[in-house]
Amino acid sequence: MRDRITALAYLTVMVMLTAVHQVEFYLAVLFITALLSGKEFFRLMKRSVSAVLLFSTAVNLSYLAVHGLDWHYLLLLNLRVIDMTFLTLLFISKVNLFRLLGFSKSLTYLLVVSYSQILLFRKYYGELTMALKSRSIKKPTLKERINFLRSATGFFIRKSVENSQEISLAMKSRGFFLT
Amino acid sequence: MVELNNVSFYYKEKKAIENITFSVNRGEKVVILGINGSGKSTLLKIVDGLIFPQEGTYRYKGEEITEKKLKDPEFNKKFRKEVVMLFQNPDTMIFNPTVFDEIAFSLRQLEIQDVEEKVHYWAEKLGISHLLDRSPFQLSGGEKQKVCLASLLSIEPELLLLDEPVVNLDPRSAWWLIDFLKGLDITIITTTHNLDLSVELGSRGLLLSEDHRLIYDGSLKELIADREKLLQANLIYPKTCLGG
Repeated sequence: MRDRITALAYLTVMVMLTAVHQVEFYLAVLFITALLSGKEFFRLMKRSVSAVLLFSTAVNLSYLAVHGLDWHYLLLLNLRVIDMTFLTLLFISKVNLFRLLGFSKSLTYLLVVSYSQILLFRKYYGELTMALKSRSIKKPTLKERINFLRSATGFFIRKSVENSQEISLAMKSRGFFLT
Repeated sequence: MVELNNVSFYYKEKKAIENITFSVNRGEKVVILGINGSGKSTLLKIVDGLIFPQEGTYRYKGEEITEKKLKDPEFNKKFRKEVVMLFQNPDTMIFNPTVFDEIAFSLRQLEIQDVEEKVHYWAEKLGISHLLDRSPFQLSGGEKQKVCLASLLSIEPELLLLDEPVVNLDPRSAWWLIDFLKGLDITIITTTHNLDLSVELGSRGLLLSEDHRLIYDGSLKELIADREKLLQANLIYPKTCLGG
């Protein structure tokens, strides 16, 4: 029950974050979520910032290039993104998603499959970067890094497709789609 | 050449290897045996300077290998040229557009003059000359492994680390690889849990127990014959009949 109430609160705040456009509101949400996160604040904030850094930089630069400097808008935009990300990470850390989605067999399976894929891909990513490190006698050139990123992207796409097909067949084999 | 003293490593709180001590001399062919999750790959990654002992020390040719030490570009260059590792999944090692570029990768990094000649030499040695213009992503698992091996050996390393090299290969390819490795005159450390093939991969065996400790260091043939030790490491099923 506690998980469901938390989920409802999370969804409500997420909707409000997309509907309300006030810096004060975003700051208030950030302040409250920071208090709720307690000792986890710095860890979650670090993860939030690293998760949005690339996206926010691209959006901010594009905005600056097209519309020029508008502090208020940029503050609004960045606060909203960080609020949403921080809130989501906090939600995931506080709630047992498996228990939360327990009411639906399909959603639970979807979560299990996604979670297992995330863990697997995290492992693959670690191996890819280690292999590059192991083979790099000196700092890779820009061209070599681009080659690496391109092949890593291709690797993940291929693995996603292969794994999805395999999982789908395994689920079919176990009668998942019959019920 | 390689010297580990009381090395321990943990992934967060999970123990991967504990209190491991052994050394490897130049020219030795050592096989590390252990069940999945016993810490074999972690051990190889430490020897390759990819992760660092949280306890104990690792020395390569007398020099302690630390994160700080490998940040020195000159030392890193020397170390990476001498110590190479073949990962269990060759897909993780491949990122160049063609097989030629893949083999040439490290040679170009070393700014070696006769790249083309060396690429052709190693491609021929590994029987992949006909694949040089192909994309490595289109190859079979065994072919990819040969490409990776050619790339690693092209810079003439002194220490080759092989992480479960035969695990994804069909018997024919596995035996080809074993024959090929026997012909190499360098120090090799291989991890495997394949008891039958292990004796072909080296003469000295290290055995890791399920609780991530080194419980045997000695003759590989004697280890394979030591049913008690293999049982202790959970490498064989109690009803397994060894030696025919």
